[in-house]
Amino acid sequence: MPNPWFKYASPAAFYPLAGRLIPMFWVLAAGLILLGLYWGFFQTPDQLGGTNPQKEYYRIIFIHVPAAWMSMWLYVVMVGWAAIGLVFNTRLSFMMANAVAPTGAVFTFLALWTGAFWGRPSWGTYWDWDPRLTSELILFFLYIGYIALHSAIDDTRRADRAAALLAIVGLVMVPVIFWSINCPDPNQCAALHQRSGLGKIEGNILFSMLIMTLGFWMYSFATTLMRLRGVILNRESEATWVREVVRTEGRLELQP
Amino acid sequence: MEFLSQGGYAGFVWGSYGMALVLLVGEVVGLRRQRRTILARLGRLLRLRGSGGDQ
Repeated sequence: MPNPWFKYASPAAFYPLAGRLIPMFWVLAAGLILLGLYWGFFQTPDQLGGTNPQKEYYRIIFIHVPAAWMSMWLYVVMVGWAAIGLVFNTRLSFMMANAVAPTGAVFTFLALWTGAFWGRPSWGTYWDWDPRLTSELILFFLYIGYIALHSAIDDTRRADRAAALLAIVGLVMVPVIFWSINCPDPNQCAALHQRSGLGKIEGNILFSMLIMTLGFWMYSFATTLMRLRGVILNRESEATWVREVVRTEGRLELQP
Repeated sequence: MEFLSQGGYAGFVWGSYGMALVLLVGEVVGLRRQRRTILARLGRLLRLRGSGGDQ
């Protein structure tokens, strides 16, 4: 029985499928992000927390937490595709890993940037070498390192393998970021991020945060597939079907 | 206007949302430009060969 998953493992079959999926992910991303922003700004209280509340600046949470979650999740996705590529030697898997990395780096930078803007009013500092901040910064350098290593090696197959190994070794940072809050007594260690139970967050705030996360996720699908289509065209440029695509889509999209 | 001031924390709130806007929109614009560049480059290559450039 022909398995549809294997059918779409071929770049020639996946390229048009990705083209049909991209507009769908854009609609989902735009709708979810607009809903999340509306709910986050207009349906939530002006303060977060009880005895020592955070004022309006807490609304950075709707960007900060979803971006931080996506930075870790996209790294796991990237390593997953890189590992599949190493084990099964499938071209498309390595291309997937390539396509995820820049979007992951964008969200990692966004998490660090918004964290600084939240840290200043709440902790009194833009930056501190706190375990979570430091490990997130290392994750950013891992994304950059993956991209740089891949582009530094001319032979694409060697570049794929070397960059995949770097990504897999770097996976250790994801659980480190996740558990870097594990400080039982705030007076005993310097962790600025404390253990936060999602159940304790006010319902509307939690709702907006989760909707924004879904929106960012759909955005990541859209940008990753867009980038993947470019990678496929570049790498398969000798194939007959790519020439056909360049002819037809080039005529449509390159009108002056 | 009360909305824009965000309780006096406008700089922090809009600084965060502004960077999100710049990065996400910038990424999409970059990807569209990249696609046009690839299509143009491969199209040029194709025409070059079609006109006997590889003889």
